[in-house]
Amino acid sequence: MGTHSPIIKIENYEGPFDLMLELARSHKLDLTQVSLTKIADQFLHYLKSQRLSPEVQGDYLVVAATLLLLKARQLLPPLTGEEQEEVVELHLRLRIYQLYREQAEAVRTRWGQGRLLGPYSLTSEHDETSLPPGKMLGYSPQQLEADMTAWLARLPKPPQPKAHLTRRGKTLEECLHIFQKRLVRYQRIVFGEMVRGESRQTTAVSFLAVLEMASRNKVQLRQEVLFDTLYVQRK
Amino acid sequence: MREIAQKLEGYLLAIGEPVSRQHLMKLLEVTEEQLLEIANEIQEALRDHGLRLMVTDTSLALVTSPLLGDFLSQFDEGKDDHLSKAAAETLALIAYRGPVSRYDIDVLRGVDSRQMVRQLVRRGLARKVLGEGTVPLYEITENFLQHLGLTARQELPRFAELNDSDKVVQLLAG
Repeated sequence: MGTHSPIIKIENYEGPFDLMLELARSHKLDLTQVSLTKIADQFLHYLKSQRLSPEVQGDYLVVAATLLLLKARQLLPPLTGEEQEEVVELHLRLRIYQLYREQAEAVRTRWGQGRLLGPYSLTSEHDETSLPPGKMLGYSPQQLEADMTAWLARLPKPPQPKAHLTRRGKTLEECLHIFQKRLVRYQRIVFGEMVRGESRQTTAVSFLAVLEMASRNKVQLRQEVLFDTLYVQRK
Repeated sequence: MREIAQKLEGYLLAIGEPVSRQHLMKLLEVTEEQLLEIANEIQEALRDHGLRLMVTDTSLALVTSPLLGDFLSQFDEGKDDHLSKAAAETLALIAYRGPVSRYDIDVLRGVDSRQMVRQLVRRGLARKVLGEGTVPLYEITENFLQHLGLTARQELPRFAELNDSDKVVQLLAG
């Protein structure tokens, strides 16, 4: 084992276990056979040669500590019962990791080939009437700013504080629940209908609920004409 | 096929996405065991069809048959085509060992997986479920299975050997 390991960036490794498996492999050692002391030197040398961010350091520290222990014990044998256990445990953890890593490779290879499809899986992408996210035809950011400014100017003054309690409006969770319940029964609902007769606050919270559902990819929002009917469609 | 099985079949098509076992049990007024019997009936009936019934631990859904994979890929824009090594590793752990806590994922991977798990949930490949107590657990979604052409997680290679901590340790000891 030389002192000059090839300079490999830490980004290439998914973590300390990944690194250890690679080191074991480079020694052509099977993890059932390899003694961790053989790769301890290289692992620790490797860590010292890299500048790790604090987050990544944390991941490597535990393994490094166990390996340092192993190295220390090389000079002052033997390992105590507890220390022996720690080494055995690390060894076991590595082998378990290796098992799942193999399966992960299989998952990666098979990914997306022959995807099973559900209703509308092929058609929703080709829906010509739906706009790509984030674009509104014929409406610029400047117009939006002008409209918003005008609208803000039209807002009524805040009400004078009153001595009695006002009725609590609906919370975001409540609005989400109402919409979700409705959407279970109907594929598509009209936002305006849902908030008809509701207070301005509830309308605003309902709109937030709808935006939240859209951001979670649960619904699709469609509006054919600016400021006209807003449809909420279950995905 | 019994009328109740026909109802389930039609309902699943009409809803058009995975439906929870609980919801179906309530809808059809059957026990879980009975629901699985009905599901089995549908699976039998669909054996030579281009459709399959996906039965996961939590839900049922109608999907296309894995045998049509090649044929349909021509039209499939292939959402989510790419899976990084870290994502595949994390998903494999959740798939084989789920429902699993983030802590356990961290222990098995040897790295902090918080961001990765969050990303996978956002991509619709994993979801959070509330375990006993308040520890959130993670499981894979039907979407994940669909991307692999599987109708149940039990179809994953070596699933029986790897889905349990004790079994794995036993496997390595042998």
